[in-house]
Amino acid sequence: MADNNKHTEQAHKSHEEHLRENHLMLDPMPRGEMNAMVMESMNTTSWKFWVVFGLLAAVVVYGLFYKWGVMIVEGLWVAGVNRPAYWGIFLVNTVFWIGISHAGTFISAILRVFKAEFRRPFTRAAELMTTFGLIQAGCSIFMHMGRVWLSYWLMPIPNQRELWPNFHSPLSWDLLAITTYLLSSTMYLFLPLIPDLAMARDKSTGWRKTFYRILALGFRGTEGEWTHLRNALSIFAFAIIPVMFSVHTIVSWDFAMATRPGWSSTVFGPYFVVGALHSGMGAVVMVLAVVRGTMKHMKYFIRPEHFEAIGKLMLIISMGWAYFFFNDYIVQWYGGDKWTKTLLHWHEAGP
Amino acid sequence: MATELKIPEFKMAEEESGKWGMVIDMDICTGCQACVAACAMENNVPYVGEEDAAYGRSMHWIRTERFWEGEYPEVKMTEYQPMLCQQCGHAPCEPVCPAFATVQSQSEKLNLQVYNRCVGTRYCANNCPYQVRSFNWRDYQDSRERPEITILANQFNPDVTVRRRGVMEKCTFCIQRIHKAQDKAKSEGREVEDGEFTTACAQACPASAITFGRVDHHESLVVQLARSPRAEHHLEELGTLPRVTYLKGA
Amino acid sequence: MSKQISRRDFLKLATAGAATTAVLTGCGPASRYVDREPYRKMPEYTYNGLSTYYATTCRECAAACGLVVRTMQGRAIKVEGNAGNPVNLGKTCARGQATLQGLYNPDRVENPTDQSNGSQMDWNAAIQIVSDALKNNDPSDIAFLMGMAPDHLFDLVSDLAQAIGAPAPVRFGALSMFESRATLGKAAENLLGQNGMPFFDLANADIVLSFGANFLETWLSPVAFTRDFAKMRRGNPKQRGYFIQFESRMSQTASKADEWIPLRPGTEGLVALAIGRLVAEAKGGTLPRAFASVDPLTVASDSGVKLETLEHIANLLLDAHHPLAIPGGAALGQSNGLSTAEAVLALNALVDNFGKPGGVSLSPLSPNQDTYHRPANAKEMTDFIAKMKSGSVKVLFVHGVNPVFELPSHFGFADALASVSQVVSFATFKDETAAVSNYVFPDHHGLESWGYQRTVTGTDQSVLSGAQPVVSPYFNTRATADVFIAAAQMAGGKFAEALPFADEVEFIQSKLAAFIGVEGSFTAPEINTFSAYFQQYGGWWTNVELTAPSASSALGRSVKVGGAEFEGNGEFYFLPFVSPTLGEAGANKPWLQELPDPTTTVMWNTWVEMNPETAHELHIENDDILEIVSEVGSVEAPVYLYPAIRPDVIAMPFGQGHTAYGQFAAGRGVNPADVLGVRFNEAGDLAFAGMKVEVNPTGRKQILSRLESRIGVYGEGLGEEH
Ligand SMILES: Nc1nc2c(c(=O)[nH]1)N[C@H]1C(S)=C(S)[C@@H](COP(=O)(O)OP(=O)(O)OC[C@H]3O[C@@H](n4cnc5c(=O)[nH]c(N)nc54)[C@H](O)[C@@H]3O)O[C@H]1N2
Ligand code: SF4
Ligand code: SF4
Ligand code: SF4
Ligand code: SF4
Ligand code: SF4
Repeated sequence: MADNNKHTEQAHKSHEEHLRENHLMLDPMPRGEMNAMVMESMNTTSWKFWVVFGLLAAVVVYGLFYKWGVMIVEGLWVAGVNRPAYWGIFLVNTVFWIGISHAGTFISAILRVFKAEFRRPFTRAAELMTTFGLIQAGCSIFMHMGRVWLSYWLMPIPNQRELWPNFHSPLSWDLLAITTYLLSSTMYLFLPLIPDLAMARDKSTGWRKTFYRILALGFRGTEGEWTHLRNALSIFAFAIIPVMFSVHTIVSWDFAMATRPGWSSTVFGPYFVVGALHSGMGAVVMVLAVVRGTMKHMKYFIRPEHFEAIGKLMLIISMGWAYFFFNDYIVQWYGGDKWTKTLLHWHEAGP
Repeated sequence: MATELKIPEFKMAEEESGKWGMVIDMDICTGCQACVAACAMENNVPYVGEEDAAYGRSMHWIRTERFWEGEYPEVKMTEYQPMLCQQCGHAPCEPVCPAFATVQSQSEKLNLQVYNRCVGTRYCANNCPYQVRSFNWRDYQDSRERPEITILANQFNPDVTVRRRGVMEKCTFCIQRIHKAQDKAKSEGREVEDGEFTTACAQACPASAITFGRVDHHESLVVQLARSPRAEHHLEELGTLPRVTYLKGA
Repeated sequence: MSKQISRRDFLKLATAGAATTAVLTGCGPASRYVDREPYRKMPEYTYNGLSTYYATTCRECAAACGLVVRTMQGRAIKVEGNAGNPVNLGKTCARGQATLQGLYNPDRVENPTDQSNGSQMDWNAAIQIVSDALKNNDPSDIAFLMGMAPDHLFDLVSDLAQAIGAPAPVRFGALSMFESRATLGKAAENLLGQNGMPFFDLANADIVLSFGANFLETWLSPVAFTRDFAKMRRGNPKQRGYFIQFESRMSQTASKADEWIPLRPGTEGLVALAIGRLVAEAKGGTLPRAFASVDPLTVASDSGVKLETLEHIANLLLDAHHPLAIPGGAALGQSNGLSTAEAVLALNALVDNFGKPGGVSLSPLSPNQDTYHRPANAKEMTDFIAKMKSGSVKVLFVHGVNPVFELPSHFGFADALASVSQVVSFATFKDETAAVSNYVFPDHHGLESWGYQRTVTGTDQSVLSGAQPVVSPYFNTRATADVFIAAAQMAGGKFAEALPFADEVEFIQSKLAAFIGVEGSFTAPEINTFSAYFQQYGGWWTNVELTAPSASSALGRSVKVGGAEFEGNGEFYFLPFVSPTLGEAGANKPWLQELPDPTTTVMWNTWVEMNPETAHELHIENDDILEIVSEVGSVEAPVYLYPAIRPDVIAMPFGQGHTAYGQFAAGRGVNPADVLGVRFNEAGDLAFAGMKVEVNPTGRKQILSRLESRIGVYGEGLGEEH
């Protein structure tokens, strides 16, 4: 089989490469072969993968368990936060990771709606990034709280003391928005995964088979199942886009609705969304580069042409972002508030 | 279920009236810090130490601000401006608190800080235009962290909760004194009179620059002082309806 | 049931006391203290949730402000001013508020200690040691060094010293040194005919010129002066009092001035004379002798104050109804300080305010006061130190003062201690002097003590503030007066005769007996009632006629203000000033440390103030550590670029730089007194503002802890914005 592969590669090399450059989605290999390549990359992992995995795991153990524990016990001074900006790294992290998470939905849902087929090889990575980015954002919110052990007080849980969260606070909406987005993006990740999980179930053995069998929910690939799945995905793709836009708009309210000079800006909603797409795309590129470099066969599926396509998209988005970036200054300056103007002066002149 | 919940209403700014108020005469405030010390002693306000203070984590509930104008030799210092919670009638800190830990008291007409309810998001402090809220970045009053507290704590005012890490706090207009006076008046079957008691800062102030009293009594001293042409409210343009009135200098 | 009623009555009394002044508490030694109990074990007379209030006197400085201390179950909870006390009328300063952190302080001396081996002692053994020291030494070899407070102990020690033939006790405090008290007293004696503090009726003045007097900070009686300042400004609805401060650095006091005149250090007296001459010329008639010899034009160029400014101020004085000029602080801490004080007093005579509202009078003497009680000036302290060095002091008793820290180190007090065979300290805290004493026999904290304190100035009444314990002693301490009484009894003979009292309270009563039947804030027919009222009201005061000094004799004197002489040839005038928040002894209280300095907002440390323009030229930035070098020593501290100081002056706060004195004080900041030389003015006060120093950047930095923000949230740099 290896020989066969080699032969095919050589025979079609120049013509195929030419074709693939022009048609990003053209995959001349038979589906079965590609499935085998994917399964191989899933079953065999290179040492590079373990290095990356080990490093990340160490970061999680140290940061999430040890350092967060220290901070819960010691108090928030550990985070280096102080007056007058009482928020700090963790709120920034929340916003940042929600931003990162936007790319997944954007690539997968918007490009799906616009039928941009070149997205296919990397939608999954992007969607996974959405989910994990959101988990990261959620963790940051909890890390940010002075008394995290009471965080359930922010949930509208009926209780006999009649204590209820304050829905005037953008923070309450944050929590709801992030939860909604997390749930919907997880579902949106999971639905298109079902046929692939079924494929993996069919092609694996041992504990992996059991694992995939449970996740595949008994998908057999009948036409009826496919129709349902496609319908569900079309609905979801349309439905999740407003959720995506709303979630970062709501996050922007945390700032936009405050009385703070420099925060209280009406342009923050769309600015945050565009900024999120911008950073999210950047993050996708980085994730793809790592996946391509560390996992087997991924160089075949993820090709330089894909990076080029994302690059073009990023160029467009960064133009939009640049518009909002300057707009933010101009609108605030035009607003004419004395303190905002002072702040802008410091932005340009330093303290 | 939800209909039974008593969620405080946020009234329009113009609707909010006051009950207690304060007038601070900046022309006679000498910046002496007696009010700061008195407040700390009355309200168990923790000191944070040199390092945390340098980081901007000090917890004074009241501070005197002063600014410089011009350069030597034409340099001038503005009046000392004792800054404490303005007990806004339309407080920006209130709506942003997700836990209802800082709320407008309908009976006292004060901005309350409910330590027990606070989860430490610090949104309120970000949104207070006067920057008068302070956060417990550490367990400053815990004798396990600070052995010296064991002795110092003898002085703690038992009428005031000792706050622990992760909780926001701020000037309460010495609400424990208000309550004491109200309890006394109630047991004597009367209303609290203006000037019957005062806050710790006003009580200590050697210049008598701080006057505290009832703003709902039209003949009270605070009301009379607030009618002065020198009167102003800080950041009034934000619509916060501050209950502290400042008297400018000449 | 009857018990129930009596409790109710007690409570009624307690509440009434809270509203007015204080609660009448026990009057004999048997009921001296209210015990501190755990909250769960309630003393019979304490009601849950109800406080008991005791009137007493603040001992954080010698101003004798009256306090009412709120206690609960035997704990002191809150200090409030005693509204009845004429000195402070219910107000306190920050140091008075924080006195509770001295009471409940982790660094108090907990037991009598033998410092040779650090072991705790029995009080009987301690008293034996004091007794032996009194008895076994030649009386002329015994020395008592006392602080500015409390007065009753000073009186007791004075009586003892007199009776046994020992030298009179010496009194000292760094505050009196930085206040230039002796100079003002001497000037008053020369011009007004009474050695004592003149009474400046600040409250009723309409124009106030202050020549270096930092009366809103720590000077003499700051609470009273602050109240009077407020009245001066806003007490008269028709006219707002106008205030001008002459000072090379804008102090907290100067920051409240309508005009701050940054003159060259040492020219204050000349400026006062020049203004006086301009006023006298405008008034016409013969020029009074005091002002005859001064030339305003030369003064203008010497002092750096423009002639127009002098004329403008002279015109203000001419238009004023109640002008007042106050000399004090650094202006008198110069080689020409005495003549400066005289010049300023003469200015008062010229504007004819003696004995008038808003003018200068002679301060009423406190009950049982005589001049003998004044503090030693710096010159007398050097004599005392010389005596110690010569070995003719065999035993030294120190109470209420920390000379190792408070005296400039160049005086050599610490070295001189080595020549004293036995040093007994009665320190409440582990301060620098206690650390090098042979024995420490700790006195109670002021709030655990009996006593009385005479007022210095600040009220037109004659006041004796009374002190009583508001809580029972927290540690194994004992009243120093009781120690002396017990030691004298033990020694027997003339010693026992000198102090024939059962205890401190009886001694105080013996002093109060003189006022029985005298017209005053209360009268009582016999001593027990008198001292009960004395406790309840927190003292006894009586109205006196203010005496007006003679203006003509003041004006008749010729006042010659020479140029101030400066020690050293550095390029900067050096101006040490007492930290307004710490005072001389506040550094051991954490909340005083955390109070921002009013003008710089610095907390917890020492800084050097320098004009930003000067700093710019020397390439010095905020927080750079500078070495300040004088002829006698050097200190290092971070710089604070202070916009309101003359370019040729640097200033440093006094109050930090302890090497002992507990965890909050030790090892924090530096003591500017370490660079002060030994030079006096004509009145024997230290010319502490008469140094010139060099400034060397060390290349190191130390971030000062400030309340203001460098990035402008508190408005730094907003000045030029709008
Ligand atoms: N008129 C009237 N009388 C009643 C009742 C009533 O409804 N009406 N109810 C009755 C009932 S059910 C009860 S349980 C009792 C309650 O009577 P108490 O137990 O007397 O209750 P509180 O008034 O809450 O007083 C508690 C005291 O503890 C102090 N305290 C607060 N925190 C602490 C702490 O951490 N440690 C210590 N040591 N002290 C602390 C407070 O200062 C306060 O003074 O009252 C009974 N009496
Ligand atoms: S001053 Fe600040 S903390 Fe106080 S009520 Fe107003 S917004 Fe809230
Ligand atoms: S810090 Fe506390 S009071 Fe402030 S917004 Fe958060 S929960 Fe509310
Ligand atoms: S009113 Fe009370 S709580 Fe507020 S600053 Fe004054 S002393 Fe502190
Ligand atoms: S106590 Fe009075 S004079 Fe002193 S800083 Fe406070 S308000 Fe100003
Ligand atoms: S001025 Fe002196 S006596 Fe008066 S309260 Fe302040 S420290 Fe105490």
